[in-house]
Amino acid sequence: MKQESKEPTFEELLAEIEQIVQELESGSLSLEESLERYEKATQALQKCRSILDSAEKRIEILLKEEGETKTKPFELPPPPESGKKG
Amino acid sequence: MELPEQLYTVSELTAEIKTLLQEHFPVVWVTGEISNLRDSHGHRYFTLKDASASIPCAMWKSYAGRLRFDVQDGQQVVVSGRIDLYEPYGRYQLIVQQIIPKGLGELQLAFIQLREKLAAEGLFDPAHKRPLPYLPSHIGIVTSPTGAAVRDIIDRILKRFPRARVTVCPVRCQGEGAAQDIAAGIELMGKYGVDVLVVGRGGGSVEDLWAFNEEVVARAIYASPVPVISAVGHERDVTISDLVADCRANTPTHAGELVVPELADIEDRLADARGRLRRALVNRLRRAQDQVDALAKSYGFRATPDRVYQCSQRLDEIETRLRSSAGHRMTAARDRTLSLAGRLEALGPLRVLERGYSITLLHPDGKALKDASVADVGKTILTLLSKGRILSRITEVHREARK
Repeated sequence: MKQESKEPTFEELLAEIEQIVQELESGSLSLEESLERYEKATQALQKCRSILDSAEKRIEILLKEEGETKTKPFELPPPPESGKKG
Repeated sequence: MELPEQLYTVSELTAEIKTLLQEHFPVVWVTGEISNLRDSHGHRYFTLKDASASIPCAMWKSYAGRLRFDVQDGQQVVVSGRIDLYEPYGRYQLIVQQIIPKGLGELQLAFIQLREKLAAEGLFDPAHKRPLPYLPSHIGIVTSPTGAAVRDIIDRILKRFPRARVTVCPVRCQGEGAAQDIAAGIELMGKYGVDVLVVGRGGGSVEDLWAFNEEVVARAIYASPVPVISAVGHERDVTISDLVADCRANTPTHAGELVVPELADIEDRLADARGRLRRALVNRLRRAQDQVDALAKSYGFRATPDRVYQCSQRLDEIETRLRSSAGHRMTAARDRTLSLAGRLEALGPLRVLERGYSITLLHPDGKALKDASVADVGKTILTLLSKGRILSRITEVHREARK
């Protein structure tokens, strides 16, 4: 049930960018190819950006109710003692 | 012969001996070697012996089920139990409630036995260990919802990546049924769509941590569809879970550190990739520009922009023709180079020159001059304009940056 398996992951995108940078740095591509690769890498960077920007803090706990699993926001247990130093 | 007053039946005598034995030995501890071990419907029967004597022993299913290690023939053990008498055969035996291996502790032996068994099956095989995702979109934690561990893990995650998504699967981490609970939690989270799992608890005694040494937990970790970080107790507490997991954290806090990167590091990586990408392209364009310049010079052009673009286009056509073995892709290549010329125009420094800017190079080495501090009085510099170029000599240098 991996519905998102087609979308590249953050590290796959990073790896793609890294590879393109190396290709460009090697200087072996034609001008046209260079521009194509640059465009591709820029798109990958934008995807990375949007993955980062769309991340939202969500801390939840699973509950089992009548055989169904639900989630609700999770409150962290308090620290055992308030021995924090400033 | 006259019969004595006191006459027992066999049953009476046996019953009296049995009572005596039971009263005299309510609990005994005996040390010896196990032999003739056999299993019948979960009950264990064996003989405890030393050099010159032996005692038949029975360990009923309800006690045998609590054994944490495999009892084997030849083991030196200490057993506890009570003496009983089996009336049909007039045989006394030891009803065993507990067996403790000699030398090693019971838990230690159980740990070694399970470790050997799972190692033989390949559960600790490095080839099976999966890499952790660099930036997980959804983190699962299987642990007690009230312990310090869950707080330590989540605190550290949020400190590093404040917008993390975390789901906690609450389980009992110690006591009866804890191992089954943890294993079920791992299985559930595997189906829940997280892309990495932290399994663990805070420090405690060997008994407290024991659930993480049980086979059912080890197998659940091994079967997990997503990578598992094991974070049990402190660094010195190595559990079977640690050995099976894809990654071992020394403490729950350390698990929080392993599971997400720091936001600042991610930003650095992206900025670095962007910078390198841009520099690589600019270098490539500069080289194309140099080629255009060289061509323009060799043809004796006065480099008006129009002619430069024609040259650029031509240059690329030539390059493309050289690259395509048969030249059958020429038409497509021409179309592409046409659009390329447009893009080059938009990106290239010539466009900037057209708007009245100029580029100054150190002469004769041709390095672009960006900083007055590398220019010395008396040196010559070459200024490229939209039309033509000027060679001049430096008479004065102001090194301060302009405000």
